[in-house]
Amino acid sequence: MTEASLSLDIAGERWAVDVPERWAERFRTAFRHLVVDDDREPALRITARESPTREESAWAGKLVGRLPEVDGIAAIREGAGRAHVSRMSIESWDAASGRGESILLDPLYESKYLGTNLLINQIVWRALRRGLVPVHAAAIGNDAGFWLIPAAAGQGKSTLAAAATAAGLRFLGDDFVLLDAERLELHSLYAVLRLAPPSFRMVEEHFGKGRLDIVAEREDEKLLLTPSGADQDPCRRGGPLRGIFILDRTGTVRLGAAATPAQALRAFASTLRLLPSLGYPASLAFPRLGDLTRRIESRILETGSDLGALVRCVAEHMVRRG
Amino acid sequence: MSDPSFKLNPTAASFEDFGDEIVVIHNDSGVFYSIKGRAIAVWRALEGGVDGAAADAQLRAISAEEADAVKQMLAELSSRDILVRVAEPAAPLADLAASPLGPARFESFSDFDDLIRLDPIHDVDERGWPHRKTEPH
Repeated sequence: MTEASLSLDIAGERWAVDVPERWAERFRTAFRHLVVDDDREPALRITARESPTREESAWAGKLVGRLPEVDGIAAIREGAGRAHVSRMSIESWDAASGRGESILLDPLYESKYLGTNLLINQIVWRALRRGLVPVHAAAIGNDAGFWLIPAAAGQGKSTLAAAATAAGLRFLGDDFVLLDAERLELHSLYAVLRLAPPSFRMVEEHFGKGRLDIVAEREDEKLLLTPSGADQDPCRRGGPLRGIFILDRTGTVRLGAAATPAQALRAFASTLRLLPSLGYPASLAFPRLGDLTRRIESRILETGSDLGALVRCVAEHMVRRG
Repeated sequence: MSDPSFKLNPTAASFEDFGDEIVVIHNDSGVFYSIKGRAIAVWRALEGGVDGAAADAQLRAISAEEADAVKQMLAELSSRDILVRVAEPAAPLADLAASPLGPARFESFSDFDDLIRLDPIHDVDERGWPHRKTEPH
């Protein structure tokens, strides 16, 4: 099968990802901000392929439904390989050789996503090994660094990130970003925004058209968007973490009080609830995030429908703290 | 027969003590707890083990509302195996009424607890997390 090879820079580490040629465009779109073009030797090589062998299908069939047994955290601690098996795919990674494999079991799966999901377990496992925490949050910033917006789905973090990006602030990522809690640095992972059309129209009404490019429209009508222009490319390099915004939808836009460390930690609830299902134990992430919330300023950001006021509020705070 | 003693089970939960609030997450379910005021003193004592009968006596010395909060905390932690019975004798709980930590408060945040077991990539429908796939594949 013809393969395409992509070179990705994920949190400063070079990954080579081999995918079937017909998937290549989706991968390039999804990871376009991480794709690099040079001869640097990759630290990891991930091969994604379809059409499992008969043995692989049988193996997956036996294991599905027993995922906790397959996803033994002990295995990764010992440096041994590990695998995640579902009805959709088999993903395996051998820590010693730095090689991973994602095998598509269900062709429908690939058609529904941009391809990023086939790599997410690999990314999370590697993050675990490197001491990075994949955080369920958006991240926006300016030249001085980035602010995290940790929130569960539906609380408005993507809309805020889209509005801030359209207004000229820097966009680092949405859904998941990689946090180096020790160095207080953030790294980009998914630089694609998912917005419902009404939210996208609101952003365009406030900040004008052409600030965000539509990459794709999903079956649920949500739009996949990326910032327009090459000036956003440096975001793949990440940067210092300057603070945390905790969203509180009050209807009136206002920068609220400083949040307590405990309030900030609770804002990471969705992260701590998601990570175990990806094989990253909450007991590892929790102390790192707890320590983070003691070391970094967190502010309550009261939100409403006035996106212009919301972005001004955020930008002014960034300048003050910059 | 001596009264049972209770102790925190460190493998069941992760927690952070911020001084004025303790935040706890149950590792298996993802349920979060916020512990404030004199309930913090109870939690800290439970790390080393607490004698059950002595704890009952201390709860009678604080207001009914506070005692209810602590009892709710103990019941919830026990139901999640974060608090377990131990055979060895434990220390009595210090004077709760004299604690300067303020009124005991216990809150549970379980709005997403069913989602922790949801694989956000493979077990969701085409809308993505947190929309669970409902049809058998």
